[in-house]
Order: sequence, then C-alpha cells, then structure tokens
Amino acid sequence: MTPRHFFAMFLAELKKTLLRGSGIAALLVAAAVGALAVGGLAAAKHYSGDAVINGAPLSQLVQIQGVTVVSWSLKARNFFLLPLVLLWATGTTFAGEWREHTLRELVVRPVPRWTVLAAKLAALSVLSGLTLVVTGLVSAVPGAAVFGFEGEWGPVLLGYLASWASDLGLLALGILASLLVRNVAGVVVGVVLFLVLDLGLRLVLKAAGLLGLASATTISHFLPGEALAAWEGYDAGWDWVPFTGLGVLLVLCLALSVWRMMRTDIP
Amino acid sequence: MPSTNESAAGRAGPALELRGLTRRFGARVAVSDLHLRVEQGDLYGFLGPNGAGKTTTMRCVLGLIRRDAGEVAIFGDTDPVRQRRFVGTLVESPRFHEWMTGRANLRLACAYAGQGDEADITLALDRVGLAERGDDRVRTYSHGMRQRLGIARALVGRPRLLMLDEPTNGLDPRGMREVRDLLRTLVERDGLTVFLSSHLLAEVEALCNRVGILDQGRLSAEGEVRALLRGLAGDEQVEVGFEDLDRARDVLAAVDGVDILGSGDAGRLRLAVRGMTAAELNRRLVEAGQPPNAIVPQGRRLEDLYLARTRDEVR
Repeated sequence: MTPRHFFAMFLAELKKTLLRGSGIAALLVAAAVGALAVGGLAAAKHYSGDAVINGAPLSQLVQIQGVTVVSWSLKARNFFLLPLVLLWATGTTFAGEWREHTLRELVVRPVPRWTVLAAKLAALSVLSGLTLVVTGLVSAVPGAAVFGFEGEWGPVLLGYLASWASDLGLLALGILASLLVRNVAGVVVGVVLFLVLDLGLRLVLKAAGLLGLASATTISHFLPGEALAAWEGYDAGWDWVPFTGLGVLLVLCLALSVWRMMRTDIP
Repeated sequence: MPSTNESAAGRAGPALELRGLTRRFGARVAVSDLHLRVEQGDLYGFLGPNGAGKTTTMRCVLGLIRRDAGEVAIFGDTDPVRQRRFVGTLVESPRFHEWMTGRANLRLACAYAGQGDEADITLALDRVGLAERGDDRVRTYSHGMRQRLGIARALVGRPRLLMLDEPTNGLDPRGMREVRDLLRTLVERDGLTVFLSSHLLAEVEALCNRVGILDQGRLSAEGEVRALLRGLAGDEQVEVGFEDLDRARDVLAAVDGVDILGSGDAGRLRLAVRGMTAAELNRRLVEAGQPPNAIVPQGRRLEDLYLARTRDEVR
C-alpha cells in the first residue's frame, strides 16, 4: 500500500460520497441554512426597524452585521438537521455498503481493511468541511453585502474550524454505530438515541454537581455530547476540556471501529 | 512499481495453494483441513453440493472471512493482503453501486486495486460485451448484464488469477458460450489462471482441465478431468434403440446385469450395464428376441464422478 494507492482510494470514495444522495443533500442543506440565515436576519431587520424596547430602538439594542449572519448560520448548521444528514451519509457509506455487499468488493482488493475505513472517513470529513465552506460562503457574501463587513470575524472563523473537528467526532461515532448495527436508519436513530441518553446523563451529573458533588460536573464535561459541542467555545469562551473529550471520543470510536472491522467477516 | 519481493512472489509457485485450510461456524466445520493446488495456467473447476464449503473456501482465500487454521499462498505469496494484488474475483452475485455507471463502478475497483487505468476498463467492458452500455447506470442493467459487469470487474486491476463463483449464473445460452470462450482465451492467450466454482457440470467438463470436488468441507477428488474419469469404477452406461420400446423394457427387465436408467437421446433407452461388453449385450438381446437397432456407448461423465464422490445435499 503506497500513499499514491491510498490517495486513489480516497479520491474514489470522495467522488462517491459527493455524488450519492446523502452527499448532495448535505451540501444543499448547508447552502439552505446559510441562505435562510441571511434571509431571516434581513427580514427581521426589515420588519423590526421601528420597534422600541424599553424606550430604545431595537436596531440599537441588536446590531446585525455580516459576521452575525455567519455566526447564526453556524449555529443553525450545527443545531440539528445537518448533523443528521452527515450521520445519514456516514451510515450510507459504511452500514449501507455493508448491507448491500458493495463493501465486499472493496475489501477483496489488496488493501488492509483499516485503509478502507480511513479512505471513507477522509472522504466524509471532506464532505463535512465542504458543508461548512458552503454555509459560510452562502451566508458571508450576501451577509457582508447587506449588513456590512464590520465586526470580529476571527472567532467565528475559528468556530467554523472547531465545528469541523466536532463533525469528525460525530462521524467517528457514526462509523462505530455503522459497524455495530449495519443499517443506515439504525445508525441515525442509534446515534441520536445515544446522544439523548448522554444529554440525560449530563443533566443528572450537573444536578449532582449543584448538590455539592463537584466531580460529577467535571465528569459531565468529558461526555460525548459536551465534546461534540466543543465548537460552541467560539461564542461562549474556549475551554480545553470539551476538546480533550472530543479527542478521546475520536480515538476511542476509531480504535473500536478498526478493531471491529479487522475482526468481522464481511458478507 | 512492485517491490523486488512482490515481483519474485508473483512469478513463483502454483497460482493458488491451500494448506490445511479450516473454517468453523460454531460447532459446524464448513471447511476441514483443505489442501488444494492450482497450477499456473490451469482452468480449475471447483465443484461440490450446496453447503459443501466452496464459497466459504473462496471467501477465506479472499480474506472476506477469517480462517481458523491453514495457509493460503497465491503465486507463492502468503501475505494475506499483498497476495490479493494478483487476484480478480467474482463472489456470489456481484453487487454494484446501482446509481453509478458500469464504468464508474470499474473505476472504483481500479482505485482500490491500485492498478488498471481507463484503457483496462474499456477493454474489460469490451470483452464482456458491455462496451456500449458501460456509461449507463447499473440500475438499468439486466441480471445477465450485471453478471457480465462482475466479470469485467474481476478483469480490471490486471489480475493473474481469476476466482469466479458461478460466473455464468443468470446468463442466456449465448452469454454462457461467450463467457466460456472468454475464459478459454484468458487462459490460453493471456496466460491467466482461472479458479471456477460452478454447479454446471457439463460446463466445467467442457472448460476445465482440472477439477476438485468438495464434499462436506473436504476434498473428495482432485486431479486432471480425464484421469479422474478414466479411474472411475462402476457400471458402464449405454443408450440402446429398439423398434418397440414397451416390449424392450419387459425383455430388459429379465436380463441379468442390466438396469434401465431412463430415456436417452433420440428415443433410446439409457442402461447401466454390469460385467458385459456392448457386443455381449447385443447378443443377449438378440437371443431374447428383441434385437436393438442401435447401441451407443456413453463415455464417463463428470456428473458420474460428481455423484460418486458427493453425498446427498439434503442431510
């Protein structure tokens, strides 16, 4: 296995990932989120132009700039729909190909199985990066044109970069789920259920923290849900703990996925 | 560019050698201590009843499933990953990305093979008769076309050993003939080795120079097809023609050493004959007042060997 061979595998996977339904859907949703953010904030500005709160005009209380649009786009992008589409893409790439026996046609080639996983992960991470670029561009260009270019762009751009890292964690979770359930819908539902359980556990731990159990709060910061929200640091203040959790999540999921893939019979 | 070791491995040894291959599924032993050798340039037929372990063997060789014991050497190379660079494969029903074109599916295979280019893809499509449909999406293909595309996929990546599981499955008679001709050409002109699993015994007999018969995970016969058939003991079979078949049946029932197997070609009866020549059979029938109008000796068939060396599939 040479780097050139791996690069050919990666390019083939990337093309497949971008052209299949889930990849196209991810890019369309990313564009729609950016466009809706611009349209929504423009509409809000237009219709609230004369509004007054506590004697002050709303336009003075809430200043919308181009960078605000890009920031809101990022939050909307990471809220719910796009992570689901990315999970769908991950499930299709792994569980779907497993189920349809097309994965078999790849692993009979002279490549170690872990490189198949790596090529697919690399392709999915590029898809994730492209969705961020699309959302960013679709919101930034008209956003800056309509609301101006003023404001702090650096932290928001870092937020986009951190979102890509958070997406890697989500993809790794999706890959592991794919190798366990081998069903696209099962991957999406399984990961969502896992994150809901994680949220419940974090709430319990936070409650325990409020009751004086300090270590409970610390533990909750390392849980997957918190790790996947590491990108929020651009707005709420950066913290190393969620990124550490994200690193642990990524390494653990990928290690388990590789172990599972190397040991399992491929139908 | 292959390394020196890889190149050396590519020239040495038999095309495929299995040494003590064993695979269990729970308590059931699917393949048991299988030793098998396919020489370079062989067209090797791998036969056996359903559940005998043929597909399991192929999947073990291709690394799709783990083996519990044993070693696989392909052109002398025992590295489980590297050895697959010599192999093109068609395992069970070929599967494709339906929304992609046939050509795009082959490009994907080339990328993973690390060998092969657009010219190889075009040639492979041409060889299987899909040159004009290669740019159509696979979802528009018939079953036979998918089978052809599967063979084309086995050919890209410049293999030296083809492992094909039921390659003519789903093809019409013309397609079956074309695939047989293609396999012969690949062996005789291009120097490839073909390892072929099939249930079509006549096809294997017509195509292969060597066969291995697997029964309950063990090799029950292996060797040159002609040598195996020569060594097959048991009844001779003949087809005998009569003017009056009904009366002939009554007469034959009374002749010692003759069993009626059924109908043969051209309205003749197919008989199993023990301990007598065709001339002796003719003499006895004349003496019984039922002279035959034709006696056609039937050569040994692979089917006879297969039935002799395998047990009932329903166990």
